[in-house]
Order: sequence, then C-alpha cells, then structure tokens
Amino acid sequence: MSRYALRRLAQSVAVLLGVSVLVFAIMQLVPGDPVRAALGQQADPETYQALRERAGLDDPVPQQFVTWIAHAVTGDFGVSFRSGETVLSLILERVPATLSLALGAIVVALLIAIPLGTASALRPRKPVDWFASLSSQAGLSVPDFWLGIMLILVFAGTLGWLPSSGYTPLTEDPAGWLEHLILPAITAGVSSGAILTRFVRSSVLESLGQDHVRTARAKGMRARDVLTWHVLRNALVPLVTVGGVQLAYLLSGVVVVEFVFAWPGLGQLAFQAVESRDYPVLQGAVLLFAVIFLLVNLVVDLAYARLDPRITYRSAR
Amino acid sequence: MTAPVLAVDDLHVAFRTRRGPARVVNGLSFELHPGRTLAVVGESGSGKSVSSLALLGLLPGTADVRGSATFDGAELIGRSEEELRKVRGAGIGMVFQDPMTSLNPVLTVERQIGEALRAHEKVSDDGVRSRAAELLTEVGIPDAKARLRAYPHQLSGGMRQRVMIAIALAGNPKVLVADEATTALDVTVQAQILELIERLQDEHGMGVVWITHDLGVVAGIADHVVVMYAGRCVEEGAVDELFGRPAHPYTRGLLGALPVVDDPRPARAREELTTMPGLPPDPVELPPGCAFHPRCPVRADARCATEPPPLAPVPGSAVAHRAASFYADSAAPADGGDAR
Repeated sequence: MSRYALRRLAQSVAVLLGVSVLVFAIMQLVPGDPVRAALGQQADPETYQALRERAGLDDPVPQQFVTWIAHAVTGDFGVSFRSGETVLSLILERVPATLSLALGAIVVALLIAIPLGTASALRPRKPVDWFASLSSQAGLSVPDFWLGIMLILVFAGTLGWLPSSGYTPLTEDPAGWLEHLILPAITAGVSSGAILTRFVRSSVLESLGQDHVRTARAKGMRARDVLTWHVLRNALVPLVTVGGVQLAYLLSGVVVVEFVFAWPGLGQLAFQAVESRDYPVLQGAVLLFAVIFLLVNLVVDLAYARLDPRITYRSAR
Repeated sequence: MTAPVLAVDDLHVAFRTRRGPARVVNGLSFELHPGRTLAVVGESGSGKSVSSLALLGLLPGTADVRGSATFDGAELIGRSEEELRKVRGAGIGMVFQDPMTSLNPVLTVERQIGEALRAHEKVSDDGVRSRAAELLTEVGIPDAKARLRAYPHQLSGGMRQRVMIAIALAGNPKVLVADEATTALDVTVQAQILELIERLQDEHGMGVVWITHDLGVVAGIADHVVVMYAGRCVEEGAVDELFGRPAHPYTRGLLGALPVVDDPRPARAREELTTMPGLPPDPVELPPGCAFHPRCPVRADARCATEPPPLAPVPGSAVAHRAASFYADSAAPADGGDAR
C-alpha cells in the first residue's frame, strides 16, 4: 500500500508540474497589465517601473516561470499585487471557511442523496421514485444564486431564524459557526445532492439484484440488516468515487455561493484576484485547486482498497 | 412412512410482465420426507429454482404465488415476512449455484457465517467465532481459524461452496435446498461437494431438495425424482424406477441425451446421442393442452393439443411412479432406457 501511495504521489507531482506550466502560460496570455491595475492609471512612471522590476515582469517569460516554481516549492507563492500580503497567508486565511463550507455542503448532499436514492431504488417506478427523480432534476436545474437568495429571503428574512450572510470561525463561536454555515451549505450542497441521488439510486438498484443479497435473505437476516450490510455497504464503494469528485469541486470554491453569502472562501479570493489581475494570488489559488483535486483523488483511491478487499494495487505487493 | 417435512401442493407462480403474466410454475406438487433426497430436474426455465425461492418468499414483488407449501405442517405461502424470516436458514437452508456471486465479496467469511448464526439467536462475538470455525471444519475446510478472516475472492470455487454450505448449516435446518449447487464447479470438486452434502445429510438427518439439470448427479444421490417441464411435474418416481422405465416422452428425451460412460456399444453407436428438437415454451404464451406437445416425438392424440394430461400412475409400475402423458404406457422400454 505505501509503495502504491508513493507512486501515486510521484504521479501527482508530475501532474502538478504540468498544471503549473499551464496556469503560468494562461496568465501570460491574459490581456491587461497587472501593475497598471494595481497602481491605477495615474501612477507615476517611476513607481510603476519599480514595481514591475520588483515583480520580475521584465524578465524573459521562461525565467519568470523558473523563478516562480523555485519559490513555489518552498511555499513562497509571491506577494499579492493588491494588498502586499504573501499569497500563502492570503490562501491559508481562507482555508477554514472553505473547508467548513465544502464539508457542510457534502454532508447536506449525502443527507439528501443516501435516503432519497435508497428509497427510490427500493420502490422503482413508485411515487417515491418519481419524487426523487423530479426533485433531483429540480436540484440540478435551480441556479445556486437563486436558491441562495430564496433561502435568505425565507429563513433569514421572513422567519429570521438564521443569519443572512457572513462567517464565524468555528474556534471562536461554534454555535455561530453552525448558524452561519447552514444556509450556504444547503445552497452549495443541493446540486451535489441531486447528482449523488441519481448515483445512489442506480448503485443501490444494482446492488439489490446481486446474488449475495438473496443469500443474505435466505439466511434469515432481517430486512434492515440486509439493506445495511449487503445492499448499502456494497453500493457505497462506487459512491466514494463520485462523492470524492463532488467534494473536490466544493473545496475548490463555490464562487457564486460564496458571493451570495459573503463567505470569505477561496472561490471569492480567486475571483477577486481575477478582477484585479492579481497574478500571484490567482496562480497560487489555481495551483492549490489542482492540489486539492489530486489529493482527493488519491484519498479516494486509497479508500477504495479499504472498502473493497478485492482491490489490491499491483505495486503494493 | 413418517410425515413429510416439506409438502408442496399445487404451487403456482406467475410473474407480472408487460406482455402479461409469465406462468413459470403451474401446479407443482411434491413431498420431502426427513432424511431423504428429492431431486427436481428440468431444463433452465422449467421453474425449478423459482419454486424453491417461492417457498421462502424470496421472489421479487412482481411474483404472484398461489397454492400450498407446508414446512413441518405449517403453511408457508402467504405468511408474513417476519414469519418467513424465521423459517429461512433455521428451518430451510439454501445453497445456491454460483459461490462467487452468492457470497458478499466485501465481507469476511466469519462475518457471513456469523450473520446466519445471529439471524436466529443471540450469540456473543466469541461464540460466533468458535461456532463458525466449527462449521468450517465440519464442511471440510482445513485451518478453519485462519480461513475465517478470508474474503471470498481469496478462496477457490470449491472452498467457497463449502462456505455456502456452512452458512446454510448454521441455522441447523431440517431441510437443505441445493439449487444447482454443483453446476458451477469442476467435476472433481463437484464429486467432493456431493459427498459432503450426503455426509451432512446423514449426520443431521436433513431432508435435501436437490435442484439440478444434471441427470448424472440425480442418479448418484436422489431417492425420488421430480421431472419438471414448463412449470409442471411431468413425471415423478423412485430414482431407479424413473431411470429404468422412463414413461414420459420428455424424460425419455432427457435420458437419451445423456452420454453413458460405460456404454458397451461400439464407439460409432455411442455417438448417437439423441437431441430434443425445439425450445421450452415461452411462459407468457404457454401452449394449450400438454405444454410439451409441440416438441413431443409421439404426439398423435387429438387431446395433446387441447387437454393437459393429468399426472397419473404409470401402468404396470410396482412402486410409486406417475407421469403426465397420454403415452405414458406405450413407450417403455424407451431408447433412453435402453442405453442405460
């Protein structure tokens, strides 16, 4: 297992290098002058020139890339053009909020998908199945921003149960953290929940038809135990993959949701960086998203082997 | 004779399909006595597996089951799920065809045997472990303690089927239903499994229902044989009688299609195995009259196409032997009977 993990890690590094080349190349192609954007049109030429030199923007492009990478591996992603803070500290500042939202959303998604998908698989072509199919269609079709606004209108406005926006760190005020998290987590989780519902349905249906489920029933096991240990347990294995992809997507920032709820996450940071042509921050953020995807995929693959003993990775032996 | 432990009477099973009801079992009756072996023989789709699943309520919701089946004198058909659950495993144990797919690939052997033990009584973890190891030893798996931790894919096909049998034995059933239990196995392993089940039957005094399409297996182990065609019993009788004097044209066809290893005839004659033309009927559109008549080599009676022949005693048989054919008396000794 550890050799497999190491090999996967090495592959990940290669992918990461490729991603960083791409990210860097795209930044070069984007029109606009970051220094001009940072200083404004009226800045005096000397300050302008000084900042360009300090940022290394007059060096040849390959050299800029090498410099950037050399610093990046040490955790130094440069300094924001806009605020002057280091990119790393800007990103780390946003991580807890993003992590809260992503985990909250995936919990919401699973709370929707597992019961609803299972119920519809157990009663195919019955009302509950139609309801599940209809609501997952709706969940996929409803735009995040609209759902967010509606939730705010109802639960923050009319009912006044929950705050309409903002974020409270978990370490400062757990209750406040949860209060602030609920609406954005639902907003971000609904579409993932809709995707996962369909997936759980087909996975459970397939699992239900397996011979070993019949064996379990023939043993005299209670229906609930058969469902838990022979149907859901086996349906869970493929669910991990799809759930992992959803989690990675949520972790790399749900820009719209963060905007609607004024949530200080990574998506917002990246968006602001695009707006202000803050290249170092944007590069750092995109690279981080790539890292998140790679890590989640790695964890999913390793979890697979734990969930299904038939899967052993060749290089592990 | 003692009272039957399992008695099936006029069992009907139909599946609701878009094309209309698929009548898969059409009035099946048989009796199984304690310690005896009943073989249910037929082609794929003749309704043999469906009947056994129907007894325990293991068919999907699209199945309509009618008729009667009593286990130990108590009716099974129409009982509640919870009442049937108590019979499953503890009263009637089942062994299925493919031991790879019939075991859960992601749970250990111990866990899967343990589930069968826990389904009917409270057992401690230690109790499960020692009892599961005992069961594995009983079904002839060496180094049982180590095997408990194995997953199905780590075992050979024969081992897996032994685990299935251990699971079926866990509830101490009075009846064991072996549904094509040796079909997926190598011939040598097949023989070992047959021997194992015979031994367990002797030790536990179980009645065994052996569902198979393999007449070679039947000849070796059965006391009594039921031949099924299109969901009906077309012939039944004691094994020697049925093999020696097959009365129904279908049974004769089956036996004629069976190669005989110690056939004294010269090689050329031996190759002349008879085959039965045609396919079993579509259960949605069963032919009127005798379901076998479109394929029957001797149909000549006008009644064949209009009137299902009743299961009646075969003329001239000393022991219990019944067949559902208007030609039950005209054919013996048959070609197939000759060959044996």
